[in-house]
Amino acid sequence: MENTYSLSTLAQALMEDFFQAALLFWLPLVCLPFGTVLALSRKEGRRPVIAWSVVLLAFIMILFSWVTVPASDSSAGGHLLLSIIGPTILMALGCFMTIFTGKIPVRRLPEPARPVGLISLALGVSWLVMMHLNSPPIWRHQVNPYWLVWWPSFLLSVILLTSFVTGALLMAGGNRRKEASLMVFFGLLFLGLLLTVINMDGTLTTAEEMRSYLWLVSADILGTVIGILIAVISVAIVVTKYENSLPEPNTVLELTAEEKELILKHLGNNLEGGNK
Amino acid sequence: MTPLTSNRRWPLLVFPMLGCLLVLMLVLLLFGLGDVSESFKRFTNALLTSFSVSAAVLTIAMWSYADSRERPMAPIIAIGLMAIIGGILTFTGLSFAGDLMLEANGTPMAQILYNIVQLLVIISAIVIAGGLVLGTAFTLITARQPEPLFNEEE
Repeated sequence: MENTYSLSTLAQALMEDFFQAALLFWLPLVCLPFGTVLALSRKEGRRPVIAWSVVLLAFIMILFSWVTVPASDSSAGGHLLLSIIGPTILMALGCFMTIFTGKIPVRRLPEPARPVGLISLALGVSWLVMMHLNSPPIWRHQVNPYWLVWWPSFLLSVILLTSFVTGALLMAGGNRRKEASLMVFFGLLFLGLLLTVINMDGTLTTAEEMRSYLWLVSADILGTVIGILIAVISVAIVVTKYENSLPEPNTVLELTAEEKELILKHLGNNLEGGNK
Repeated sequence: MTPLTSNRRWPLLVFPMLGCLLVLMLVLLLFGLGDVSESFKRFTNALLTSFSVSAAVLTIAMWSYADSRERPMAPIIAIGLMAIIGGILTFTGLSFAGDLMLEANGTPMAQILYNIVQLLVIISAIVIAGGLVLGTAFTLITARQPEPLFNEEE
């Protein structure tokens, strides 16, 4: 009798945990991509405002899921995102300030903002390095397992994307060799950081552990990118097939003399400086 | 000769990335790897999960596409089916081909939930890294005075 009672109590507790996790972590996680797509899909009306508000609320709920649903293992993901939000904001602010103090024709920031932006950028990256060396995110009294995935993924992505951007600068940019070489230098800095990470033990992580994780996240990144590419290519095929199946649009009537005159007037106003 | 900005030469941009990845893998092999026996499982899980999740998100995008095409149901159903097939493939793979399951997860459902959170983590890493790299590139580009498009006649 006592066993039956304890089993039903355990089942009830498990169901409570399950519904809590579904409501406070999984529902916001589902709202995140769907809200973003809905917000981006239409610019008129209230839909974008409502969708962005839902996305923001969902994101906040995910960030604090380790407090609201501590029993769920998935909340470690929310804990990780909260841990890296500080350096991410610093790096984003740094990029914004340095770009908008540059030689751009509109909305330039005052010149002193540039060094502040550079410092902010450097601080953001240093914060992440210090997290690796001294204080990685701790979840349930141990290093957050997703940190061991996120950190090597970030370093690897920076190096790979830098090589991509350098190639793009050389191929598509006109006389951008100087910028391309500076990007190579930037990539080499991160390569040095990566080599340090896989050779130097942190306070709570070992170099061997990081080497294994780096190899494993390469498999993760490759799988993720290929999976997304297959989905996108499939959508492109479906849309092309559908568009090809549509009937030819009806031909429109020839322009009348009045319409031609109106078009010429608008062209004249725009191409010849107006007031003609 | 094909011009540098020709569409046909854009795929060449993937080569520096692949080269970098290859060099990094070689460096890792030289330093010695730890336990990487789960690489293939991780690759397969990541592929199936990212395919299913992206297809589901793209189904919603197709709904917006349908707004401008008198609401045809065929494309939406096609993409929705893709997402469902991806989900079924993942679940079946995990349930019957037990090799795909990582040691830390006991049931297929636990593995699927773990995969989705892992996808969120990987995508956040790629997006933040992308922002940093693009931000740095634009910082360097805007640091120099842009060259005039046409030289003025003297």
